[in-house]
Amino acid sequence: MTDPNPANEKDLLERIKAGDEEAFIQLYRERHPAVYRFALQMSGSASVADDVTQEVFLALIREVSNYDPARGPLSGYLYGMARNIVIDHLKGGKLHVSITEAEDDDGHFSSARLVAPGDPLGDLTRDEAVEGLRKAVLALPEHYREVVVLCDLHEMNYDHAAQTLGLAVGTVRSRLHRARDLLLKKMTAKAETGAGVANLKTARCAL
Amino acid sequence: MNCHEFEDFVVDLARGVVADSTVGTRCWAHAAICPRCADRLLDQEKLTAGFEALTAHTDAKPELEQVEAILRREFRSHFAKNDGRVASRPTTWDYPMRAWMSPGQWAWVGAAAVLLLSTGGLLTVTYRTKLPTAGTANNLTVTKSIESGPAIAKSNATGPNVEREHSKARVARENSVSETHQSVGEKNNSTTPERPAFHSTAHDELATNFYPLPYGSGLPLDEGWEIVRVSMPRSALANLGVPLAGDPGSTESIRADLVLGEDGLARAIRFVE
Repeated sequence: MTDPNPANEKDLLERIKAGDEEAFIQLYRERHPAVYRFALQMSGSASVADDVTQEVFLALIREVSNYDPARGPLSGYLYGMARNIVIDHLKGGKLHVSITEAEDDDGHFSSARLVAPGDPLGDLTRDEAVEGLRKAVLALPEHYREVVVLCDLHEMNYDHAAQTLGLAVGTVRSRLHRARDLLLKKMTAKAETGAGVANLKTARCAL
Repeated sequence: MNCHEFEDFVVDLARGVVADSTVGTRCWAHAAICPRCADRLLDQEKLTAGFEALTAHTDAKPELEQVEAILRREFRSHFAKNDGRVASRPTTWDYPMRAWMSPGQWAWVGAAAVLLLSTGGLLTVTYRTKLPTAGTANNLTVTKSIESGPAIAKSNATGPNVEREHSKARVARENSVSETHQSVGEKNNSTTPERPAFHSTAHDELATNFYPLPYGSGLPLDEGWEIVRVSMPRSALANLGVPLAGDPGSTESIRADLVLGEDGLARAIRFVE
């Protein structure tokens, strides 16, 4: 979620604080897709994403008078609220993260089921591969998942992500690095099971 | 650049966010001579492409109209409440009386209102504390020590012993009058301030009327007032603004009831024997 026009955003917020309903709806229409996608990518559930999106904007109505633009852009504020609500859903067991789908009959995590048939990294833009990647992201631990969603799926820079998550920039960067390595390992796990995928070398070399 | 340094930047390189172009150039140069790092970069680039595809596949949107309707209702409800709150708290300039009352007249009315409220509050306190309600008081008695009572903490380094009792339920005390009789009266005989008149209460005690404290009498006394029984050295009276009789440094203990407002500040005092 980018901040398309800070001046316009400031104007909208002033109008909203003054009780301008149409200004609020305009802001909602501009910003809800990003909030929805974030919630969907974090939760893996469309219904949860619907709920989270609605809750974020309901909270904005209640809290708009407390929002201070000096503390950060509105997008960070909205992402932050969405993140907290998703986490609440997660703690409340309301999430439908597809981790269970990745478990085998014995309850063990099977990364092979997360990957698409064939070379998973050969073309990650194929529908099956994208689905495999989506499940792999959902199977990431929450603290890794959120940096992947913000930085890679929402193209947020490190500074903005750090502000949104309340972390140091270095922490965001290292978590993203680690998360991507985990994803690569999961996506190439099929190769380890002998399915004939590309022989990827994710370990560091020693030159 | 070696492989370890390359590893630090490979993710940024694949994401196209290497801020320093010199570093980017060195990374590319290393990847050109190191097949394993080149593969590593290729994997990361594939992952980036996968993320882009995933983003493109995640464009489903919630039902706009339904959510919008809910949000509109909430918005109207929220701001209607706020409007109501504002309307119920008019500023001074919104009062219709302003048209026919000057600021000077307002000052007199305010002063009169404060005087009436103070008098009424003290009368109510006096009336309530004289009501014998011991039958129900036992269930509601709260006795505790207060380490830093707002009105008396400064006066006693060790903290006074305090029995706190709610104004609506006086405690039936079993202390005899003789136990406290010598604490206030006898040693005050030679002092200049006049000794307050003691009245018999319903609890085998002698107590004076309540006297407003100099700094507390102008303060409002709302519903949450309490009467607190304190036992304190006579020297602490000075901190309450009560004239001292006898030796100011005396450590003799005095029992008194303080009327505390909800803010914890003492409004009035009476002495108990």
